[in-house]
Order: sequence, then C-alpha cells, then structure tokens
Amino acid sequence: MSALAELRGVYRERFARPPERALGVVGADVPRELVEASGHVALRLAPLADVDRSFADRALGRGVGEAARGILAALLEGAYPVERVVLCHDSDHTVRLYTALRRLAPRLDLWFLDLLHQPRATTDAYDRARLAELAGWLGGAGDLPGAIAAGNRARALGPRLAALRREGRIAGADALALLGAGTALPAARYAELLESALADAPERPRPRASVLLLGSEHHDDAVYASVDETGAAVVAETHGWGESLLAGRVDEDGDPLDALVRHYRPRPRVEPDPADVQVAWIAPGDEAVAWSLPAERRRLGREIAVARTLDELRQAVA
Amino acid sequence: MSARGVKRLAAPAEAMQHQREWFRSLRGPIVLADADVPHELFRALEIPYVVNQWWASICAAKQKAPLYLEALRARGYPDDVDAYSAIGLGSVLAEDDDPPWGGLPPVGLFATQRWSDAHEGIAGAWAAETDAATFAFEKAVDRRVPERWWERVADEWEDVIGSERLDLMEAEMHELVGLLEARFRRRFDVERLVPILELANEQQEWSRRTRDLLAATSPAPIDVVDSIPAVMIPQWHRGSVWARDAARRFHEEVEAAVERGDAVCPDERLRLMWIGRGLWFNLGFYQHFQERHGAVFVWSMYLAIAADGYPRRGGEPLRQLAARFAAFSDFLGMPGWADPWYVAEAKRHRVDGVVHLVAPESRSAWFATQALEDAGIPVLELDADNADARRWDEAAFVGALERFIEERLPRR
Repeated sequence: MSALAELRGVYRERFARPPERALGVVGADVPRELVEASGHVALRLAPLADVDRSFADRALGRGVGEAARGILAALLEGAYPVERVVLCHDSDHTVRLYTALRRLAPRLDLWFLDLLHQPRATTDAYDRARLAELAGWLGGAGDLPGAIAAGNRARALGPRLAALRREGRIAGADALALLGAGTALPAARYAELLESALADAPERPRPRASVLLLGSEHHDDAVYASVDETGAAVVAETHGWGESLLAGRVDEDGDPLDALVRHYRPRPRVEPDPADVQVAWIAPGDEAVAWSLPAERRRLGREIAVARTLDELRQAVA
Repeated sequence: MSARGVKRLAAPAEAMQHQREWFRSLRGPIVLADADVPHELFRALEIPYVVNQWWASICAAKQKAPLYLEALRARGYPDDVDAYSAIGLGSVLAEDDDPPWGGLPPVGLFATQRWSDAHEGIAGAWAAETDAATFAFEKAVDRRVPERWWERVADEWEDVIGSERLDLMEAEMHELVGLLEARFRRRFDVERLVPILELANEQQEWSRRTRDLLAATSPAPIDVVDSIPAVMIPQWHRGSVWARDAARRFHEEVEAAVERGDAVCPDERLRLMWIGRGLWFNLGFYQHFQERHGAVFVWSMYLAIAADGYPRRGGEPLRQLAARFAAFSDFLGMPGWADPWYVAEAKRHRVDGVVHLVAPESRSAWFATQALEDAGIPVLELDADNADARRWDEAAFVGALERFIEERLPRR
C-alpha cells in the first residue's frame, strides 16, 4: 500500500482504528509534543457521523459551531476510543463545549488547557504556567525535547507539501487527509509516511482553478472533495485542520515549555498567498468568523466569496 | 403599548437627564469600553469613557441600530453576530446626519474583554477602520466551579476567582495603564483609584439593599422598566459621587414607595423574571401583561448583578479591581456559575415564571432554563436579539408570552 493510501486510511479510520495509548484532544492549541512526551498519542476529536446530535444542539445552542456540538454528542455517548480528553481555548466554541461537558459528564477525565492568544508577555507567562499544569496532569513532561524534535521532522515537510499543492500535484481532499492523518499518529511514524507520500506524489493534470479556503474549520473532507469534483482544487487554507498543523517549527534549544508557548500562542499560524479563487466557508454557528474577512480581503488584495452550502461553494469556484 | 414603557419613579428620569447633560459635556478623544472592562481605571486617569453597550442601547432606543448594522454589512462585517457589541462601531462608520444625542465624540481607544470570537473581530475592525487604539483583555477560564459564588465573591474573591486569573488581569491592567498614559498624556496614581473603588462599593451596597427590598415586597412597587435604567446608568459611572448618590436616591424612592404601599399591579397575580439583556428598543413589552394578567416583571439581571457581582472588598486596589472583571461573564453566562444564581434569585424574588431571551451568544441558556424548570419554575425562551429590532416579532412574542401565562403559570 502506498504511503498516500495508508495516510488516507489513517485519516478516514482514525476513530475506528485509533493509535495505541490515544488521548483525546479538542481544538488546535493542544501541543501534540507535550502529549507524546508523556507517552500518549494525541487523537484530535471530530464529530462522528452516526451519533445523534439533537441533545447537544439544545444544550449548546445555535451560537456554538456544529462541530463542537457533534463532539459533545459523541463524548456524552462515549463514542471515542479515549479515556482522557484535553480541551483548549482555541475558540469560544471549544470553551463552551468544555464548560457544558464538565457539568453534563462530571465523571469524564477532562483537562482544560487555557492557552490564550493576546500578543503580550502577560499572556506568555500565563500560558507557560498552564502548559506546566497540563504536563503534570499528563504524568510529567517525559522526553519533551525528543517529542519536539520528532514533531519538527514532520513540520519540516510542510513547505514541500505546500509547494506540491500549489503545483496542483495533490488533490484538495488528499491534502486534507495527509494533514489530518498527523492528528492521529505518533509524530515519527507520521513524518516517515508523509515523507514517502510526498516523494511519490504522482503527476496530475493541473486543476482548472486553485482555491484558497478561509473561514470555518473542516474536520472532514466533504468541502474539499466537492471542490475537487468541479476540477478545481483547494491548494491552501487558514483553518486549524489545514497547513497550520505543520506550520513553523518549535525551537529545539532553550526551555521546551517556553518554545511551545512561542509556537502555539501566536495567531494566525499561516497567512497563505492568494489563489485563483478565494472562498470563505462559514459553518452553521460559526458566523463570528466573518469578522475576520475584511482584514483578509485587505491582506490578499482580492475579493472573497462567502459560501455556507456546497451549492454556494460550487458557484464560487465555477 | 409605548416602546419606552411607563416609568413610575424619578430615579430613571433623573439618571437619563444626567446622562444627556454628561454626554453633551463630553469632548473626545474618549475611551469606548465594553461593559466588562475596568472603567474605574479610566476614571482614575480622568479620561472620559463611554460604555459600548450603553451607547448601543441608546442607538437601539432611537431605532438607529438597523442603519448602523447596515453600515457594518456594507464593509463586509457580519451584522448579525453580537450586534450589541458591534453597533458602536457601526455608529461611527455610518453616514448619519442625525445621530443620537449628536453622536459619539472621537474614540481614542476601544477596550474589550475577549470572551467571544466576535469580540476579537470587533476590536480588529475598530483598529482597521478607525484611528482608535485597541486593547483586548484576555478572558481566562478556570477549571473550578465555585459553589454559591454570590455569597463569597465580595470578600473571598482571591479564592472564588483564582489567583492565576487575577495575576493575569492585574498584569494586563498595568499594560493598559501604560497605553492610556501614552495615548491620553495622563499619569496614573493608584491613590486616586482607592476612593473610586470605595464609592463603587457603596453604590453596589445601595443596589443590594434595593434588590433585597424589592425581593421581599409584594405586590411589586416598581417593575424592571424603572429598575433597569435606574441601576444601569449609574453603573456606567461607577466610582463617581454622582453614581453612588443616584443609587442611594433610587433606594430611598423604592423604600418610600414600599411604605406608601405603591403597586405596579394592585391585583398582582404573577411575578415574572427576565433573563438576558434588556429590550432597549421596546421596554414597553415588559408592561404589556400587567393589565390583563396581573403579570409584573419584577427581576432583571441588572439590579441583581449590581448587588451580587460587583462588590469587592479588601486587598490591593488594582488586584481588587481585577477581581471585579476577571470572572464577570462567568457570573451571567457560564454553566455552573450562572444557572444556580438564577435559581437562587428566582426563589428570592418568589417568581412564578421566567422569560429567557436566548441569543446565539447566550452562553449557558440551556443550563439556566433546565435548572429553573428543575426547580419547578416554568421558563419561556424567546429567540431574539435585544438590540436589533429587525428580528423582533412583536405579535409572535406577545402571543407566545400570553400562551405561556395561560398554559404554564398558576391561575390566581
């Protein structure tokens, strides 16, 4: 089986065939390095299609994104192959998911990593203390430098993946799978597979149009696949399941917790260049993400189409 | 039914009169600050400030919100996400030759506390669209949920709120002071903050007495149409002698009304609680049900949170002030903090039913409704925005409340 096929499989089956010693994480700010250093593998949770979401929709309300409601539903049903879960402050959705979950399921072994984001030393100090607490809950920081180095080996492949995508050598849905598989594998294994998948990237006809995807998160490849079907391809994105997963590099010298703060505190983690088409996907309950679009418009110097349904998306990339 | 509602006391009218005169005297640059930001700092630095949500309530009351929200949409910003916090920006971007009260003076700094994703976006938009500087406090989240915080937070705030959150906000206040000193050419002196904090506590103590008196009195001598403006306008001047005295006069008026045996509804049959932000564009809605159903809105969060959520005593001045805001949005909207308090207040005021305004940004709506229903207090949820009249369906909501009263509340 090719490395690409294997990573596709990991991505699609990540909850049915989880990694060993999986620890659930919710949100984009839980340092995988810290989880791996404690001897676990971070499995980033996403909604499960076959779990009924009606109670979670009522408990969280329409002001919380569908994804967070889906994760609440699955956690309340015990549908994930994990016993412990770390949530973070990457968005208001995750905060509201956590503050509801701790009331609805007090016996779940939860931790909340309150990693904040204002660009100030006061936040850096606060975040470092919260990372130290998380390390304690995980059972110690173990070989954190080693875990950071392993994570960096995968990050080092980020630019190569980005270049192949911009050249049209990788379909949008495949790119999302290559990135998402990294949220369900030990870093060393992931780097190995990703390296060979990029090396074997087949020649492909250039997509009719390149698409930069802004706005809400994509925990599955439905939107990407829909764009692929039109002959276009998503070649970059700003959300937390995309290239930001491999963005940058965590410093390997100096204090490792400080290095993790310097990496996970700043936002945005990626600022991709414009593509042929810019589309902002706004998921139900995530309307607040629209506040960021005028600034993106100015940064990109391009118009941004807004899509809330697959039909609107297809029209935008047509 | 008048959109303004009928007021019975002098306090709201006096407060509104003061507000007009004060607003007319304002000269920019000002600070435009969200409600849950330490206004006491601006007062200690003698920097004029306007509270963003109060200004939005004036814009809504003058039916200008739709125009200002449209101005946001025209520039690509959402006009239906946390409108209450965004109308202020719309008011300075809109083409309006007749703004309420002559419009906002120039804004030198916009201050917020980042507890929703929209707050971050709104602050970013202020920076991008105007010359204002911006400052966003973090909204830290504690992993603990203290029991009955309202009985402890005034004196045991270090424990209730948590030292980590206080350390962070206190440090951020030092940063904000530095920005304010540079931007407005002032010098901060903590000694000026001390009397402001004392006046603020005295003000809230008068509010607490008023809340307790109203809770214990049936039939209700006043309703929320009086209490909301009477408590909130002084709240936006917290730490001033005027605000402390306004709270005292409001208490004295209520006390006199109780002694006279005044009653909003002599045959009061139902006591109602309003959870959520006030309907600034339609205060009359609260009085619609008095005549036919003897139903009086006796509770809104404003007087109660003044009594339970604002007082802080002891400790270093800046840390005491940080303790007022580091957990403020938890009191009103975090599961485990807000819902037990609403139940305690409902019982204290012996309410028969609750009308719960649920907007997308209502953070613990289901938990509050569930806790009240579990306590045997029926709840009607209204899905609407308190500041955006475009989505208010008067006939539908009046009808819903009529049915709620007839079908779910006791018949007396």
